[in-house]
Amino acid sequence: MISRNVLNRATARVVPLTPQAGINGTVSFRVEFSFPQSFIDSITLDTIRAAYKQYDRRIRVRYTVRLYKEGAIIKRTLREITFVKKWILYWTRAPDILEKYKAYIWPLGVDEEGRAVFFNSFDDAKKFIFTSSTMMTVTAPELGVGESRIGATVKARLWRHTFIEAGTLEASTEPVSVQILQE
Amino acid sequence: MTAIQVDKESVEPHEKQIWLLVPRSKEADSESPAGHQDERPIKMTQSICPECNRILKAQIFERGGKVYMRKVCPVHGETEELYYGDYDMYLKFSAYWDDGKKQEAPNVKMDSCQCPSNCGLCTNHLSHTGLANIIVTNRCDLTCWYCFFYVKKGLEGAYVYEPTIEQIREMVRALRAERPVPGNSVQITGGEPTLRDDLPEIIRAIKEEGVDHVQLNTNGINIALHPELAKIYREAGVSNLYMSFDGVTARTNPKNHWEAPYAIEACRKAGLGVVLVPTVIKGINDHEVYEIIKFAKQNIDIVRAVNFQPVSLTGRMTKKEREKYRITIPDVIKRIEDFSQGEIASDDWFPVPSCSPITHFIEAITNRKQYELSIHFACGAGTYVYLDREKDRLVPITRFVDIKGLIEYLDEVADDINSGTNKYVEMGKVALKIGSFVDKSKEPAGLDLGRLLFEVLFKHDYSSIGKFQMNSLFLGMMHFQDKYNHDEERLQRCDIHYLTPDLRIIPFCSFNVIPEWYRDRIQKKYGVPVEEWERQHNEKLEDRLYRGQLRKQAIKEGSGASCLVNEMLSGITGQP
Repeated sequence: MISRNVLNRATARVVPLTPQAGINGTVSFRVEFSFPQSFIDSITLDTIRAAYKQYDRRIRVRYTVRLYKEGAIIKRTLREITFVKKWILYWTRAPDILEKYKAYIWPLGVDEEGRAVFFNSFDDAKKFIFTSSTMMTVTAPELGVGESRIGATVKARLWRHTFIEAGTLEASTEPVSVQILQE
Repeated sequence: MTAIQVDKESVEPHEKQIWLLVPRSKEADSESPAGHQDERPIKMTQSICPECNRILKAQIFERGGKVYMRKVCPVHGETEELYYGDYDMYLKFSAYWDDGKKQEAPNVKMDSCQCPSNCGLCTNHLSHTGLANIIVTNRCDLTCWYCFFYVKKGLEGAYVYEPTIEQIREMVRALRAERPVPGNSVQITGGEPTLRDDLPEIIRAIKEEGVDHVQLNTNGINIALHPELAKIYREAGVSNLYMSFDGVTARTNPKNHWEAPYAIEACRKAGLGVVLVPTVIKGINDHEVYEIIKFAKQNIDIVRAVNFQPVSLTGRMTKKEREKYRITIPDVIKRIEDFSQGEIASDDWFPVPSCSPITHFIEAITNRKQYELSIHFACGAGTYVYLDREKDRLVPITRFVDIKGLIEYLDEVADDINSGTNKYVEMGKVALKIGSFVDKSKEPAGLDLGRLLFEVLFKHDYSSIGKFQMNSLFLGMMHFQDKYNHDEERLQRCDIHYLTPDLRIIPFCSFNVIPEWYRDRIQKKYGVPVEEWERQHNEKLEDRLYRGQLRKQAIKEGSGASCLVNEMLSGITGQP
């Protein structure tokens, strides 16, 4: 069982893709989130094999990403998106995986759109489910002319599994500045 | 290398464990198939050589929006085959992947097993039996050119296979001994099972062994000729007929075009539900898939389902021949969408394992392993349609129920309960919320699907599922494999099995895809040579062949079709 303490070190950051825009334009951000590296490292093929054997075969992470504008007193929500990423553990007959990993339980990803994602490496599979990168766009009038401080919070909900208790991870970004120009 | 790692910690074998004399496959030492520039690799799997059954590495890849399989045998060369006719649907459907509960009461030893040899089942198998086939005879009253499953007189080594009632009881006991979920659904099949005069006794024996659902797979001809049989079978315990029905014209359905309406009428009088089973072959009857649904709609009072079966290409075929006939589940779904002008669209279909969240929810609230349809997503698909009597249209369930949302919600509630929340609180929430997934304004008049769903979820018994089925027409797809598209990942999850007198439970796609290891061997071991059977029974095999009496009678009447056939097919074929 993985300790809950390791989950307190989730990281998030917001990256402004258009740090400056005219008042009629739009500003885009990328909000990145990652489970703590120590947690990601602790998930191994042995972990998922043990989970599979106990019929613990769907690992679902529900992400809630909130983008906000810092004000003098309150943080005004600009956008909030919720999505789910899943792993389905299955018994693979793929010779390449059997040969490379000497393992037969393998994750299949399900993305936000409900489409399957097949992985060639276990690191890719972990990156898929335990990190998120969300694009968010706001219109310039929503921010107003001048400098705005934009931040984000990300929550990741996990349910109980053989290797971890249920709970929610939360991480906040350092705010970034964007400039809206009067045209 | 060895094909799979064996799970040594699995449960102890079943006491009826049996060693088999099936030749072990050669190991998967084939070269990896090379990719091409215009292809997008999806994944690897294992398959077999269509010539020598050697286990091969196989590449699943996308090209031109379709999914293909390629494998290379060091002796017989490369085989490329259409695997799934739509890449987008492949990705959408594979997201419902769900491995089942495994076999905890295996009938064959694990360490002698290397799929697909020695099936029977072992603890590598991932699905319990969803439907168990019992062949009661391999005699048939028809001689269809594409059928692989009837005894042909004159062939060397032709055997009549007819297990005794005691053997059948033993087979059913083996099915009921499955763990963690005992088998509860049997299909009596053949040949043509109605050729056995003791069929009612067989049905009663199966029911007495504790099976709830007994389905009779037939061409319907005997029932058309002797309508009283429908009542006899119904009273003996048959739940429904599973009747071949390949098209709505004599050309596309030479098998029982003239007889099926009479059989349906007999079932109507007996109150015996009918499932129509079209085998779909590209270029032969794929243009009639929607007409078949319309025929079912006209008889919706007694036809419960249409289960399309894209053809399985058995025997040796050239690539050109295979391309001519090969059709896959997405192709049939697309044809239905096109011919129905969107009345039943591609988005209305879901893969069979999409039912699993319902099972997960019921398991979470009952704390007991439940019956689960955990087959591979590429094996089957389905949807429910309802008749809007006011508009005389079929309305797919997805038009008024948020199926995707419901599935996701139930899966999440199951996770909540498994994470420690109070199950009674969660059940209360589900009971209150279930109706919100149904758009009452679009629901066909007279239907209360919210209540039916409630009963399925909270009563979760055979009768509530039956009630749900009775109010709908189920449209299904089941694509059995052949040696060209054989995928070990599909076979490992197969839940349609055969019960055999040596008390094995053999997956359909082993039994029929590699008949030389399974079907033929069983029939030879437990059958009698045709000549001997004829001597014992004082009749010739061909005595029971159907000679087309109803067709001849209809032609003799001069209309080209009898009144009943005319009435049932009018509005479909445009005949008067």
